[in-house]
Amino acid sequence: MKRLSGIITGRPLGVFIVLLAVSFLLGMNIRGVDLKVDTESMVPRDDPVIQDLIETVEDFGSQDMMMIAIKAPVYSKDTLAKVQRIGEQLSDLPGVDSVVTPLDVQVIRGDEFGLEISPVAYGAPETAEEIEEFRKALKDSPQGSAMVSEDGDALAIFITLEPGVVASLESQDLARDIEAIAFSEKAPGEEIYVVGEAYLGYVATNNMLRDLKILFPLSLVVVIAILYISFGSMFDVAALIITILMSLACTIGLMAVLGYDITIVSMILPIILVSMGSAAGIHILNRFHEESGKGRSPEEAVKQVIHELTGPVAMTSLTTAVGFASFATSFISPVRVFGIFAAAGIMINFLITLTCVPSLLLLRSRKNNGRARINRVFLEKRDDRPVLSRFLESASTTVITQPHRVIFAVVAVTLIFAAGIPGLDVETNWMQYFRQDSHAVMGTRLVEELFGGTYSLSVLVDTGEYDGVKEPDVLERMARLQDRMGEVDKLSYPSSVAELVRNINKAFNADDPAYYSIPATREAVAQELLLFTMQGGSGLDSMVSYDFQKALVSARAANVPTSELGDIIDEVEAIADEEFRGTGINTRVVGLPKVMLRMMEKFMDDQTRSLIFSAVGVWLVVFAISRSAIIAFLCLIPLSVTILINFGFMAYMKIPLDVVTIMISGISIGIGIDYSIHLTSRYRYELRNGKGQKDALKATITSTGRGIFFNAFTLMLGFGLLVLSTFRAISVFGMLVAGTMFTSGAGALILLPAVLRLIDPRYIRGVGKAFPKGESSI
Amino acid sequence: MKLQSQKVRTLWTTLGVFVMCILVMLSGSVHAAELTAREILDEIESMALLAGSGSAKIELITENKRGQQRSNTLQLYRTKDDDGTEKQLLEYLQPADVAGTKLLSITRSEGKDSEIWLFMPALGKERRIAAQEMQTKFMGTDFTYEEISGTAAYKEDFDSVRLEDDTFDGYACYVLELTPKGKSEYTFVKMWVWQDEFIPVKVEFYGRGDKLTKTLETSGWKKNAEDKWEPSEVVMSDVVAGTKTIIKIMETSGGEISDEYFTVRYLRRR
Repeated sequence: MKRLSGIITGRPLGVFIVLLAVSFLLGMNIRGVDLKVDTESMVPRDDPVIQDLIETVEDFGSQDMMMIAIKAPVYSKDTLAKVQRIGEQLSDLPGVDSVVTPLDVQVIRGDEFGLEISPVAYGAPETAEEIEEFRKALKDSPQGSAMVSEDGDALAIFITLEPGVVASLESQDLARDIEAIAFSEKAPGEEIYVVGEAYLGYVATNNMLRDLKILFPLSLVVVIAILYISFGSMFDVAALIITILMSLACTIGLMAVLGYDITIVSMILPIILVSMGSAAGIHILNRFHEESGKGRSPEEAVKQVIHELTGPVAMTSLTTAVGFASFATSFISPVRVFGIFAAAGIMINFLITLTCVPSLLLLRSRKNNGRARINRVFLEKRDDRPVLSRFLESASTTVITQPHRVIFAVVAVTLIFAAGIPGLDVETNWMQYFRQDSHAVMGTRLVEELFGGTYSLSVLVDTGEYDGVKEPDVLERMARLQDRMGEVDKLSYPSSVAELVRNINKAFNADDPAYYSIPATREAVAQELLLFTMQGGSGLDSMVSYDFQKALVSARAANVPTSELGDIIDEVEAIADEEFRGTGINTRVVGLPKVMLRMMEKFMDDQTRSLIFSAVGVWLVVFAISRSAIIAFLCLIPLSVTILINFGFMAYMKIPLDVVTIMISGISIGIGIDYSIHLTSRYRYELRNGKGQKDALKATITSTGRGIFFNAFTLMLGFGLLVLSTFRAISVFGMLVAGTMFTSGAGALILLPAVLRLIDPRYIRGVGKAFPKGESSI
Repeated sequence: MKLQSQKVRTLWTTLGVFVMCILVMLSGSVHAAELTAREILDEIESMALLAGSGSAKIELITENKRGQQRSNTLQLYRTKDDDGTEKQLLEYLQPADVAGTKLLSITRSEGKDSEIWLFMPALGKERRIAAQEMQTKFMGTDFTYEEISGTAAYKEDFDSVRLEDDTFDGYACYVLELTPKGKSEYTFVKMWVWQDEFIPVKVEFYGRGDKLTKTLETSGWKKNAEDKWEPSEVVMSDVVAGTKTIIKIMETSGGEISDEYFTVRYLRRR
């Protein structure tokens, strides 16, 4: 520490320039950071569910779909010409595997020669007769009726994306291009929607970016305002802001240098660093002004500050970093990356603050001929808040006189909230992140209403043998499975190779409905399929694997909350098990809904793991520094209450646990622990200075209470700003973090002292190493 | 609109036309020091026109992106009547579940109207199949109808430029760049022509944006019993889709084929 303060007091300008240069060099890389949004990339590739999906893509081609829904009279020359134009443009886009419009529907029918497979139209029909013919042909085809609404006022265009595109950076460009093509064809009175996972991700990213562009400067302004009110000095505020911006440049720059992308999760990093990055600096400025006020020279004051504050500031930074680092155990990779870099950002911020703020203070005092400008406003302001003082006064009285009641009340409230926790929902569906009146949500709802849904849910049937799918018995079972899947609520338009074989068989036998069945022998099946392909029939590849060992039975699934999706998947799995029982044939559900469900299952584990990790981590840090197991344990009490109340609140308010809200507990532990640390350290300090328990508690609550109040207040405002986001996930996140800041602050101010009141001061005073007192005053 | 991408799957084909065209290429003997692209093409075409009667046993292998293969063995017979009508019969020998499936095609010289009949033994009936559009993928292989039927008349429909000579698979080759005059799915085609025999041994097809889309490669050229050059293997690779169609020529003979093979009645015969 001596060396550090020596360097800073010796060459403040040099230190500042080095910091600036490092920040600039790292910050330069920020432009190289890319955005990445998709559900699949959130689950690690070695997860069995992802393995299934990868295998499915290899066997059956891409499972990534997008859809364009057009609400306009379908059977008109203009609409159909438009459909053709959109289809042609879409199929030219890189990343698009195939496009199917109602004009491309394949019609299978019997004719006098045998079997005819033809597109429903050759180009867009123009005359009234052509359009009528088209309408009839489309009605006769199961595929066609799945693409045009019953009353002919809406149609869908299906886009299959190339495998891997959704998980790549091109997905953003692709979604933008598809949107542009679709919207450019919008005529007055028509509605055109783009739907699909990739598109939702794109819109979500854009919404978040747009929001953050407003919210980030806004949070800076709020932090500046609060700091200015507290310090009354623009210089102090500027020093803190410079520190924050440097930390931000270094952290994001580091992410870029190490090749990590910004994800929907790490987008909130800037706001977090802005809200939290000032804490360490505030302590240092405070102490500096205090020392200067005592008449010390700036060099001496800086030395004193560095000597006294490095430990406590390191501890609070470390505990916050531990809170974030707990996400490193997450199975969701964006959350993992976010946790690591948020923790790194907090530590970087600590290092920069510790060096940058003193350097700037010295630089200014040198300009002012070696004297520190004494911050009179700051010193005078210490006692001019009667409301707060009176509140803290009465709080301390209550805590000291009626600790049992306080504890009882807190426990009762906590239990009421905790009782709701079992009802907490888990959500992994993008849709739930949007406000329900947004264009993207409305489009998805329309598609569901008319065309059944935007997700594809499939059962993979693996016969385990070459050509096994051609066995009539297997096909019969698949046909039954398909029929039963069609009856499951929220599933629609089932399809499979069995359905295709039934249709071919019927068409082959002069369209006799009696032949809508699977042929009796394997040879007959093989030969009918041969005929189908020879006739130019298409679509087999997406239903059967190349070696005919595996097949998919698919249906469209509506966009429902993940928990409901779980019920649907269970039901489908039960049907598949029943149909294939005793055959030795392996069936399993695959597809994006399964990935979403898998994430949901993992969310709870993840949350528990993150909680344990952060609690143990924080306990260890506090123990290491305070050398007291009891104190480290006591510090966790307000946090446990905070977390229980938070989850209970979420459950009662029907706020699900999702990729974003899963981080709240870790953040609140990391930040909330600081309040408890401040409180306990001050309490011990007072005890050691000879005060009795009551006086020590009173002194602690009324003095440190101020710091805790302002600290929590700054963070509540900083995170509370996120409520303004138009993106539901972010706004909920902001609200909840602000709420936990309130509860953990109140917990440290009221509950913790009440608990301390019941513990013999000897256990607290005597044990462990002395806390330096400096960190407990703002 | 041809938007749905058809991947390689099916195991059947009237590849015969194509194979025949290649195997009947007679050894040419034109040796001029500086031939123009046009002169080279003339030599090739005069040979290709000699496609006639014969039979062949081939193995047709389709390969998907992952390198998985499906194999079919086919016997094919071909003849050409005096009036220019081309007749062709294909019979599946392997795999077992489609063995005995036969396909008869009769293409009259006037127009591209062809009659195609398919007999499926498991169903005990023959069916007539509709003729396909010329540029669509041929029966699920990597060949288009145009390429299969040899109707891509390079001399008439393409402008040709001779590029620098090259060697392919040990054969000294002329290299031609052929640009279609009319509408085509290709922007240009590069053809490697074996200098000694005027046989195209390799063709590269370039699509939109001058991107290589497909390659056709031949190998194992040898003279057969009729003293005609034939390759032992022809491979068409779809560079974009990552699929392949491999034709292995197992046996060939150039004799006359009895006309009764080319009747609907013959289809039903076991």
